[in-house]
Amino acid sequence: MGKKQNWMILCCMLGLVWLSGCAPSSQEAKKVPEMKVGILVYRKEDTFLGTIVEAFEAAAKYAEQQENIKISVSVMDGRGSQAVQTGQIEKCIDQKYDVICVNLVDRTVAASIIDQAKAAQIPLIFFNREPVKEDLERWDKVYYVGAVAKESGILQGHLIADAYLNNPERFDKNNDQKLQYVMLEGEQGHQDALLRTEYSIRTLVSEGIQMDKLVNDTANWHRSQAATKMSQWLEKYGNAIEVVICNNDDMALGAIDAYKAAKKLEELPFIVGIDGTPPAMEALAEGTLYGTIKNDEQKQAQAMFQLCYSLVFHGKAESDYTLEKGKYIFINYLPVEREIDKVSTGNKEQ
Amino acid sequence: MANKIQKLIQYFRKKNIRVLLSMCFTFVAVAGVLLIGTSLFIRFRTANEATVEETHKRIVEQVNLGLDSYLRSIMKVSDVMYFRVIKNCDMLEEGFNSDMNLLYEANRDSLVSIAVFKRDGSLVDAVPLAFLKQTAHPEKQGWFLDAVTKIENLHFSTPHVQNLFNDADYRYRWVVSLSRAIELTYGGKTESGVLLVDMNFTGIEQLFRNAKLGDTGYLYLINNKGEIIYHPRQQLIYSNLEQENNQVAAAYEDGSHIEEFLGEKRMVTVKTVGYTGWKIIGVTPMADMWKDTFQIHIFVLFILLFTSLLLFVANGFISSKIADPILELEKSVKELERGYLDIPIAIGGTHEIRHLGETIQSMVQQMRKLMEDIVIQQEEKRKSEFDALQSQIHPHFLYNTLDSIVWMVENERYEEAIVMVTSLAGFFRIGLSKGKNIITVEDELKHAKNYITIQSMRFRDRFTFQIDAQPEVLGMATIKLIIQPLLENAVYHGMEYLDGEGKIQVNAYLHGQELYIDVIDNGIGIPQEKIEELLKRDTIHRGKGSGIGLRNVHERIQCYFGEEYGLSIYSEPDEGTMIRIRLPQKQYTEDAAVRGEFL
Amino acid sequence: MKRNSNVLIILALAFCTAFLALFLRMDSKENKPKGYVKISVISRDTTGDTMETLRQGMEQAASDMRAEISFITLSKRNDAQEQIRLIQREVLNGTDAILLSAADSEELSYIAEEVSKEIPIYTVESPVASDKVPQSAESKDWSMGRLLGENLIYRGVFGKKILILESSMRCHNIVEREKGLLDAITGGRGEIITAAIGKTEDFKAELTEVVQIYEPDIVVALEPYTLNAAAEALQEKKYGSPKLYGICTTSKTSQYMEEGLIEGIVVQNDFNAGYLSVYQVMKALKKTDATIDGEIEFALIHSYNMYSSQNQRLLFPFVR
Repeated sequence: MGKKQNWMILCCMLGLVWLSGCAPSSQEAKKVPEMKVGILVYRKEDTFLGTIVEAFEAAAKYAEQQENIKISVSVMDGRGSQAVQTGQIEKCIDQKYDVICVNLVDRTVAASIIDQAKAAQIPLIFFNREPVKEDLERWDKVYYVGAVAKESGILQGHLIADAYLNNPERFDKNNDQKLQYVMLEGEQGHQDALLRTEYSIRTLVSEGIQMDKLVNDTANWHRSQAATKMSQWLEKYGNAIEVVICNNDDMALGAIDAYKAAKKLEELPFIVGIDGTPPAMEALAEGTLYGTIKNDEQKQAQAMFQLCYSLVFHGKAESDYTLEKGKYIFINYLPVEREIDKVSTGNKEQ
Repeated sequence: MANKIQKLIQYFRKKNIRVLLSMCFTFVAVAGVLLIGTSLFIRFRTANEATVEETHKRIVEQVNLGLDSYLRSIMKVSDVMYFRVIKNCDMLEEGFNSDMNLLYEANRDSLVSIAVFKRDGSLVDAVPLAFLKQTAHPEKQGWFLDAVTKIENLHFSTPHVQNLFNDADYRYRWVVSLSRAIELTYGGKTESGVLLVDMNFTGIEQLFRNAKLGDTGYLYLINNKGEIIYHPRQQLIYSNLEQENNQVAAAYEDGSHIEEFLGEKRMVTVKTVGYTGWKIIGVTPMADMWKDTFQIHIFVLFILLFTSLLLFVANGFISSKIADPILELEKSVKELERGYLDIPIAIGGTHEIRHLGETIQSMVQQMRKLMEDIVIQQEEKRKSEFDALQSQIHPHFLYNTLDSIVWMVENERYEEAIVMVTSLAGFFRIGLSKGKNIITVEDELKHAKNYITIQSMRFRDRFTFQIDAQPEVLGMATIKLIIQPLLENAVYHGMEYLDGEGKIQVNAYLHGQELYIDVIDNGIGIPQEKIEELLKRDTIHRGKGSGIGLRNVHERIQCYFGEEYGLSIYSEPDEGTMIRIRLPQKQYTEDAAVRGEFL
Repeated sequence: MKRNSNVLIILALAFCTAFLALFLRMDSKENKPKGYVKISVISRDTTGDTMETLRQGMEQAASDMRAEISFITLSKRNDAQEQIRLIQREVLNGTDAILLSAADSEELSYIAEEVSKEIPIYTVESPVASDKVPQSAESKDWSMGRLLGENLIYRGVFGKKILILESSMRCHNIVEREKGLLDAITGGRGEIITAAIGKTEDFKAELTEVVQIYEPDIVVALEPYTLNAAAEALQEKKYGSPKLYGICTTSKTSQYMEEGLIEGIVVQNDFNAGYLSVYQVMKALKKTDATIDGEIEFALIHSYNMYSSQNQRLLFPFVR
């Protein structure tokens, strides 16, 4: 055995060690461009969010077929717990999603989520629940897609006002020239709940209608909780309730459920919701729901999708909708009423 | 066994010293390193285990604190609901819905529902949902029965699906129910009922998720019967995809235990939660605990092996340093054994070995010198014998003697001629004595007598002579031709210039341990300085006759019998000379004579 | 002597290198998490609802074994052609494995076989007609049908009309369920009617029509989609009040059962099925060394026993 041979063995061994440290590089096949989107909703049972997600998925499917790309959309349910949602965001970041759309459970915790995404350079799109401006300004690749909550309140106010003014006798059951109303509010602290409540009443008052609040309470956007609340109020106030103003359609439907359960459909007051979800539209057609303000999930989903698409494939934010301050996309609401009543009120659009 | 050991020892004996040394060193060193390594390692491991155990205890303790305060907050909801709301409320006058609502909203994150039932199971009020399902039978459910059987306590149920209220979202939640018996007031009359607080798992989960026990350790919660309340992998256990040792764990005391479950050793830390009797169980697989230290294990192992390797090399070096000189020395000695005396002896290594080598070297030198001496001696011996012999057949002596005989015959002094011839014949016969060097003192004396007879006849009675010997000396051994040269010396040097009548006396007798033969003359004597020169080897002394004669005798005696024997010369000018031959007393034997040796 | 020391040096060096290698490897193993294994799950429905529990199981397994599930739904229910396109796209995009719920067991067998040569492909729920493409778990469909049938017989079918709603009959698992069911009830004293539905998008209308024609006493739906549709139709009182039975479940099914719209359902542990399917894939890819042998049990559940501790675990997986 010569010295040379020894060195050869040594070299071989070193080579092996080196090789073992390196992963074999995979060769790039011709792939379809791919985009991984995570959509995190605070609670998947929320009907309106369900429609947004559906619309987003449909948009993604359409784009897949049109442009021969792959878009994998993972929808995750926060189950009403910010801890769960934070875990899901971490998972998305860990699995290197291209873009993450977040419907926060608690809109006050946006800061830490933005920081995490920033560290991983993954664009974030918040939707439906708007983090405060200060948080959104932490990073330039953070966007918000939603509606102007204030507007929905105003529209809701106008809707009720117009209906009432056109036909006061029909709504003013006790003929006291006042509207006795109950208010079902969304989750405490949600910007939409606050603004919708505030502006619907303010608009009504500004229209010169005297409002008389019987009671208001939060039902957490929740149909069954709303039904529970409503049935209690129904017991308490009975036919005195003239208007039921709800921050969203689910709660409006809950109120209707309460009337149905109490078998007091004939007493059904003037119930309005916001969002225009499919079950609400059914109720509208059925005649139980008086009116709603269409929160345009199609457009919101479209805007979100366009944002995602352009961010991933073009590296910048682009959309058919105006991008305010480079961060915000606000979609307008549309009031929707029962066909029979529409004749008189007309379609009020801003 | 003993046999084997014997064999082993045999084997080692056969191995050379270097291998043996290095093996022994390595063995001892490796054993030491191993011992130290292992003991350190064991210490480290136990310390590590203790630390882990302590850490886990603390973690479990913390979770316990968290869980305790969490459960207390839920119990507080129940307490407030009962003692502050229900007790103060007459159901006929007013409801308690708003208070209940408040409580619910305040604890919305951890509660699923609060509900109050009458004893028969009918719903009094509930938040947030209040439509009882048609199929719901609260009075048949465990939490309800618990509450009514033990009315003084609060009861926590095992996880179950909340199925009481209609939910438009088709939501089915897993809850833990907290139930208690209550009294409802209806217009002053009391009626018993049950208060239910359903809590979700968010709070518990957060507590348990955030507490990490190592990489794969986890915490779970069981009730006192061992039924699982919360487990990070609850559904997997519910579907039998995984197993948990919860039934056994229920019997554990608080503290740490080592258990074996599904072939895996794991450390279990148990803490019982107050009031509920629930137990928090922290589980850490032992393998996981050691995985953290795996690197250290490898490192220690590496160090051990590396040290052993180093020691091996070092020992090889040291033992070769020690053993190589010995081996070299041994090799030299082997050569010596084979008879090569002139090869150099390897000297090196430590002081002792060097000394050993040096000693051997000087020994060998000595030996070599001795051997050379012997060779020289032998040569000298032969030479002196040869000289002696040659002097016997001194042509002048023979010529003169024959001349005398001729003269005697011419003068018809036949008597004298006969004596002369006889003496001459005797002289030569003994002088040759069949080539033997050793003869009896008697023969030697006869020889001397023959000689002196011849000489006295030749010198016409210029001197007289007398030979005396004790009878016991006659059978003793001597080398031949030692007296005749002395006589010759006496005749030629003692008698020649003597005016008066010369007298030569030979005495052989025993003296002490020695045998003395004195040759005495009354000649002119020998000067003192000459005496000293006479016996010296290197003195070149050529005079009449032969000084060689005396020296030759002296050397031959010493050669045969040793330095202590030989000639002594005592002389007094004009008085005479006595030359004494000192010999050992040895009986003559034929063998020794043939071999020609005495020593 | 010199060679000896050379050998020693080499040995020491080799030793050090080996050790270093081990150390580095260990280090990299700990610090650098392996990438996720990409598994594409191709459903045969437009939404994930019908496979909800299955999916939960898959996701649990995925998070346990570091896999990434991409759950793909169709734009049209049971569209075999779309599935084929999707499979091709997923393979092209470098997915590591495919879990397929075949919209058409026959039509998809060819492509599934082709794909199986390249990457692991397993079927869940609905298999393909090929030996080369394994099912992720042993099919219990026949037994489930049989269990339901036996139960019908046990409850008495004398003189009753039993309507079996045939949908997705191109999926072999559904066919198996029907076979099992028929096996049990054929020869009983009931009249068996089968009706194919699913020709149009409006299930409810089709159902109503069929029920009005046959006026059955018992209606059996073979998959949750039709079962829920039938329950909804029943809720809207679009036909009389036949007893509704079904195989497999969604969260809505339980609600309908509680409301008394559905009489009973045979439920299998979809969570396990999902979990094991991903496990199979990971095992085929040699990315897991766990050994899990879970049984996918099934049970017949009625509204009165749906909250028994066993059944509630089957119906409502404890997932957080």
